[in-house]
Amino acid sequence: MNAKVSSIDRLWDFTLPCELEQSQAWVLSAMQKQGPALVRLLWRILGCEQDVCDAYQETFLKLAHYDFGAKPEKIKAYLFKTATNTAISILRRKALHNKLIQNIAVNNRSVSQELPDFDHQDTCKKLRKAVTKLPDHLRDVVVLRDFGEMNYRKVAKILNITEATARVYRCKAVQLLAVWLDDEKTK
Amino acid sequence: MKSDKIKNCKTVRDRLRKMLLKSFQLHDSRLYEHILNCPKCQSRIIPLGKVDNALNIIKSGRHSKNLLAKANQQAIGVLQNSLRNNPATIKLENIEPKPSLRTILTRYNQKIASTAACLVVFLLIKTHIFNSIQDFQSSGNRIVNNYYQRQLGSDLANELGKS
Repeated sequence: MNAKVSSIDRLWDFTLPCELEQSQAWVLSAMQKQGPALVRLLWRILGCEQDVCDAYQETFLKLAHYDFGAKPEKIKAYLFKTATNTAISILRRKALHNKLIQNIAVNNRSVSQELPDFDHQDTCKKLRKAVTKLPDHLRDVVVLRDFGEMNYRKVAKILNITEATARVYRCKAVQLLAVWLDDEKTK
Repeated sequence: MKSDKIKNCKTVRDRLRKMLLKSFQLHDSRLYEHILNCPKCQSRIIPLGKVDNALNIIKSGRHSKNLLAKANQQAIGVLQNSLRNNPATIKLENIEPKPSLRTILTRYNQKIASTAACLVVFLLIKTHIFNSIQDFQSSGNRIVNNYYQRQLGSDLANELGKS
């Protein structure tokens, strides 16, 4: 009896890698299919190659460990949502870090350099910072629509909302961003 | 039944919106003039324009060509051993981003449009539409000529026809 059990165990050990390979092969196909769009989206949100690689890695790691290795029902939606959230949390962490450095610099009375009237990099930085402050539902639409260059139908499908709602959310988000960018300038 | 009604209402609303947009174009000079002279409108539109500019700047930024391959390598590095040894990973680790079919086709937009126009003209010739237009024109001329002959006489009608 014992011999029979041990032989079944050995058989199980032998088949396990094969099964895993088969069960998780969809991760690689998802990487192949959605990879370019994801990298483009992450690049536009983060603007830094190393951060893009980190966020991309974390996204696929989460996908591979989703529900003990099970395949999500909507892989594309899962990937884009996870990537957006990961990228936004990286941006927030960076903003905090920058704030800390600025505080240290102020305490040490370092001389600040004056910026020109319209600085491209500064505007992009401000916009990225403002996007992190948006409420989740508005932020997701702006990120997918503007950074991911998706049409409203795709955005609606990923976020599980209607097209009209996506349009309204995007409009509200742009209005909020405009107000915040203007406020920052007046400050 | 109710859903049909809603669907119809939606299509009606959509059409109305499109009609309004057509009749009220943004390129309207009156609209521009108003915005130029109205500080309230300016204060609302300028920040929106800034957001639009910033979004466009972000969109126009290009990453390095090997970023996708680099990201794939890093992501594959943390996956299971069985997946890392999969032959498909070699392809993923050396992949390069390719422009979409739509982007490639935008280069040839004009050529495609002129080819389509040629095809349409060819089809029109094939279906004898041009011939029927000519027939219609000549029969119209004949009717007018007859009318003048009856009213003014054949000499004057012939002179008018020549001119």
